[in-house]
Amino acid sequence: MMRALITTALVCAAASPAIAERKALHDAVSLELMTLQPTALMVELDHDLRARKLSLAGAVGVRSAALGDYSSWTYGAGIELRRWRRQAMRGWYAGARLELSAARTIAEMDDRGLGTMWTTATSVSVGYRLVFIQAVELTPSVGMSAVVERGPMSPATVRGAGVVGLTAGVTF
Amino acid sequence: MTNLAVTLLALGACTAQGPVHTDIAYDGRFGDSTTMDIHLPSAARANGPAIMLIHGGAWEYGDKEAYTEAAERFARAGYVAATINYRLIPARYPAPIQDCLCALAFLRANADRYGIDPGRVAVTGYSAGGHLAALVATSYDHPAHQPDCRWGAEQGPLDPPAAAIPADAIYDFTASANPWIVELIGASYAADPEPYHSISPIEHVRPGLPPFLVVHGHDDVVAVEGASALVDSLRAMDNAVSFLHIDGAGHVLSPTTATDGAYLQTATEMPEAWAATLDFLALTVGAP
Repeated sequence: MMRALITTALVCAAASPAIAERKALHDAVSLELMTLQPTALMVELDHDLRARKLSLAGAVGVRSAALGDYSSWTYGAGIELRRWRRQAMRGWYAGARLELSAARTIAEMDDRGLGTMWTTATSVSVGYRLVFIQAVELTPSVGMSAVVERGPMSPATVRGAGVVGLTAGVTF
Repeated sequence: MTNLAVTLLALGACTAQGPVHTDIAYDGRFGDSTTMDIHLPSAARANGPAIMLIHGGAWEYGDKEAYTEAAERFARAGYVAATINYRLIPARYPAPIQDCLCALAFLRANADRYGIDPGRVAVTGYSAGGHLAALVATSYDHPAHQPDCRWGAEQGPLDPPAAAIPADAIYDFTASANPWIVELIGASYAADPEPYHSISPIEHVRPGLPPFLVVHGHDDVVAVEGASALVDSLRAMDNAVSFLHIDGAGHVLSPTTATDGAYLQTATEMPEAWAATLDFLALTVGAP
């Protein structure tokens, strides 16, 4: 996360309104930096719907996070509808997001699967897309999420959590 | 689509919660500082497994409500879940560990009332709470930690918890200075080293301890090497221990889904951690 914050600071320093022409942007392909690890990757495509300053973002991700006496694989997909404040695909936006993930954990000490934990998350957020050098984008966001999880030994439960995001990618 | 339907159903089902007994004083001398909330499964039963949750906050902040969501989740899974307050700084060591052991003794002494099997009570905690959970499980019979509350005095020498799940904690305070521990002990290591040894769970590791599941965020500011050292020490003494450390999880930020940013939550809230925790409880205190 520290790397992501330093990256943000450097990019903000490098960004200049004089450099970034306010051309229309229609698509952006990004990586999520807050959770980017050698063992985790999320790729998102944000597409301008060209109506009412709306865009639709779709994301897919994979994570292999458990270490030690456990291993795990988490796969997921999500979509987010974004309403941009002034111009689509840049500046301030508000978003509503829906995600679905499946996390399978294995107890490696006796090679035993612990089943799959299903997670459904609905969230609302606000963000700001910086565009500089005409194509590079950096988008921090904050929001709130309602998370529903269920698994083999865990009945469905609902909880709330704050979410912090930071994507970086290219626009075109 | 199935899981989307579950989401909608769960939003309605979330109100189907078992009874909760709030602000139960396990030691009447210290007001709210020594109270607990006891979350019961929706289906009443006798002699069931239980878990005691100890909140974090650097031994100076926080309260039992920090663990309310987790306690409700354990209760939904069929466990009696007790989330406790304990005396915080400016109280001095050994007050917090005495309170945790008193709370454990209270649950055992009142097992019939809450449907608990006194031999099937696990303990868990996060950060400072993880330290205390580990200390409960390793030093339950240490003379300096014996609670002087009613339940401790009645029970005599205390038994260990049935299992321990400490998370994202420091387990050895003899190696480096921690300002909150200095405040809790009331003296520096140089001035008074003995309490720094007795407050460190790793100093109490010996054969015959209860099973441990040690959980730690790999990116935590609290270094994962400390958790590894505790695990290695427990294993060297032939204690049953499992170690889950989670890549990408910090002390207050960790991922949940595979497609969103970092959630403001502990590593123990991650799906991987819940899966390992519930499996570990089923193997140690038994499934509900």
